Amino acid sequence: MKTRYLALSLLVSMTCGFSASTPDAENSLKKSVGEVIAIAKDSKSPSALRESLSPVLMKSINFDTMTRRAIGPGWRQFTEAQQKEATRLFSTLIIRTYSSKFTPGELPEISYKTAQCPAPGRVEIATTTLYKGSKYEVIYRLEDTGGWRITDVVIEGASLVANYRTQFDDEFKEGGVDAVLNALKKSASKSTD
Amino acid sequence: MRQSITFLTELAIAFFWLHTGFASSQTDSNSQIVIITKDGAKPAPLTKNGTPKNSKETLFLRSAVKEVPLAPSPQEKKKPLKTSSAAAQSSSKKPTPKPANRAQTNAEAKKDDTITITKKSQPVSNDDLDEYSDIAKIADPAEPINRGTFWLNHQLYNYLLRPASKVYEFILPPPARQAVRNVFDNAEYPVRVVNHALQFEFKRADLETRKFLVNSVAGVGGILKVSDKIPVLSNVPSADTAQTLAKWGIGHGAYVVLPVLGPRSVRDTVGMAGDYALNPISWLSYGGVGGATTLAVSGPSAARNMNERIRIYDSATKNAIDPYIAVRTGYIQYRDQAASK
Repeated sequence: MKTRYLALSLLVSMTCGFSASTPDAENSLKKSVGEVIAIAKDSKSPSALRESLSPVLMKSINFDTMTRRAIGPGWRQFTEAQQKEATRLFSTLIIRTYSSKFTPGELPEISYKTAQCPAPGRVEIATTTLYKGSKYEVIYRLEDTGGWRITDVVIEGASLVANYRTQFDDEFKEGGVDAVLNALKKSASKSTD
Repeated sequence: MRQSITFLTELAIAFFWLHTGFASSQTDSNSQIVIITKDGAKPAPLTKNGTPKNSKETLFLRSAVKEVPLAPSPQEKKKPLKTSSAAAQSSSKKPTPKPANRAQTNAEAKKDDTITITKKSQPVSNDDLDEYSDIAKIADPAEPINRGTFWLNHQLYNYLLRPASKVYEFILPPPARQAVRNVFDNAEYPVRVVNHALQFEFKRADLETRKFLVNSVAGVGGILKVSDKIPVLSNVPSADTAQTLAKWGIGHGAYVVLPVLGPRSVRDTVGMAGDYALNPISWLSYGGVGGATTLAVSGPSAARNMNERIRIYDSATKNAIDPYIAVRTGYIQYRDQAASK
């Protein structure tokens, strides 16, 4: 009986594995993280770090999906041009948020745990990151949209996308699309150095 | 032999079910489950497994609403959203159900003794755009006051604690800061072990005790965190009083922003009092030790916490749309995760 359930669960996990290509997702993430660490090692200043990280992050993160989910159902009321503008501004914020977590020269030690496949085409990879003497649990969520790209990063239980979603919700309720775009413009134009 | 044949048949059925499930379209026009729209009944969106997708719509058996004509397929009616990802292509506008039609259909269903199915809410919404709708909700009835305290804390962090934190970093090189962090983490052992026991996690309490002994003896009073080199001791989840209260089924309560200390839920504020009582550093003030000595001992701990707090605060607020909401959401998600361990 046990063997039967084992075989059935193996079949389910294999199907998940075949359709989701979990190893591909893992390789994709490890490659991106490796590039980020190499850049962080050589950068001389936070602004130089951000400049150098930008192309790597643009390639590794699915900003379209991220922006859409951060804004929520209100996204449908955006025109195509507004959607592009929101994605551009949100990308700037995310790149800045991600870059600000690194200090040039100080490198994190990352260990990867077994990847999970919560749904076909989706993979979650949990990692333990040791940085500046503190240990953090970081989960990367990736989706296959013609290549595996990151759609959310969850640090110690706090999801980046969920965090922005709650903020955008209030803006949208108060002033709709314009309020969201104005808030994005304001935040993206802030100097953080 | 017969058992093996049955087993193989089950395997084949399971394989077939999985693959036909994955291959099926988002809305199966032959589906027996429908939703009511302003244009009448239309097939309910299905998951790839053939089960109804999570949505706020009420689901009906087709036989319960067979008199309502089927709506045209979404492809005929709606222009798909223009986005670059495949996930976006699967999302389409959900028409608002017309209350009159819905009520009428319900009444007719009751009259005919047919069955209606109301889908229970699930943690993850099926709407691609609404995936994060249920995350990090907490009552915040005192928001105006909390925002005021949040603003005061912001000034305090920026103009007093941040410079003090920089001085601390300047005085102590990174290895010394790490040693301070290790010593105080080790000293907080009673907080963790008591709470592991209160959560009936006796194995963790045992590991925590071993960790304390290893770090205290081999790590010279906790200066070195030797336990990090021992796999079984390197990842023992932390425990605190608020986490214990959460495991006992006590909810967050309202959100509060405490002066200087920052965000808490009512449950965490109560838990903080428990942690204070269990923390040996705070026992000094009750043990006849002079104020200056207590300050000298607890000072580095406060500086250590302050540095960590400022780093997390900056990370949450610097690129936020609304820093107050960002900190509130981040804090509640973090605490929820700690309670779930």
